[in-house]
Amino acid sequence: MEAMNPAQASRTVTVANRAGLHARAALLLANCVREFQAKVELVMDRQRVDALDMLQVLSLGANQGQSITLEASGLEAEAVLDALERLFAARFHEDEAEGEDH
Amino acid sequence: MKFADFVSPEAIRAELAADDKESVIREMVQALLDAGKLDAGDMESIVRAILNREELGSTGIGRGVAVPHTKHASVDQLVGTVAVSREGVDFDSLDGEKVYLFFLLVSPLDRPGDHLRALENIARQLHNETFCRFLKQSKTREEIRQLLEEADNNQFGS
Repeated sequence: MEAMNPAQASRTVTVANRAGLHARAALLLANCVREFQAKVELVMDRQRVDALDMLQVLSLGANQGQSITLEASGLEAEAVLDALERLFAARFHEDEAEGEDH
Repeated sequence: MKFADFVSPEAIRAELAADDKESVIREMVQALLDAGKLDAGDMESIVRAILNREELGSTGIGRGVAVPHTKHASVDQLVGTVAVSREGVDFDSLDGEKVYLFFLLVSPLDRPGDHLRALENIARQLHNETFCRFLKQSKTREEIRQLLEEADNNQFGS
């Protein structure tokens, strides 16, 4: 932990929803991050992408069951990870209502 | 997954006439129908389903790209097409920018994996600025088809 960056945190989550990290999940992810004063990157295998960049997030092609490390920095680093952890655990609110959307 | 696995070459549109979200979707679904990939009787239902999906959050994912899509019972494999708009279309994108490149996908009900792989391929290829720029500049279906083929052969690196 560097003095220059007093608030840094990371956490590993699992993609739990059936459809994986698809377009709407990526949008919910970006919207969630935007509510906090923090920058978040997703690290998967050797790839590192900005959570706000949907094109990059979709390029991960993260399936159900995939582990992703979330790395946050900024004033609300812990808070944004708490919120993101809930979002992943809640399967992006989609498996309970499997309909036409995805 | 490669573009050739889901993009119907005959349904590619180099110069979209449409200038709003609904008409873009209609024009692209019509293109798939004209290419024999969808049945005319399913057109309205598919257009509605794609528009309903847009209501949940725009598929304008930024950098001038949108991926309108839906699942639909009428298809038994992933079908898709590509279209380019010269003027750009307001698609309620995440970054507020107009959209120039459209990738429309219709998936079977039970194959989320294929849909995800197609999105992954689209996003990876568009991450390459050269591919993105050439695609936006394409003037004919054949030019787009060749670009997709070159991308499939990793000629842009990624």
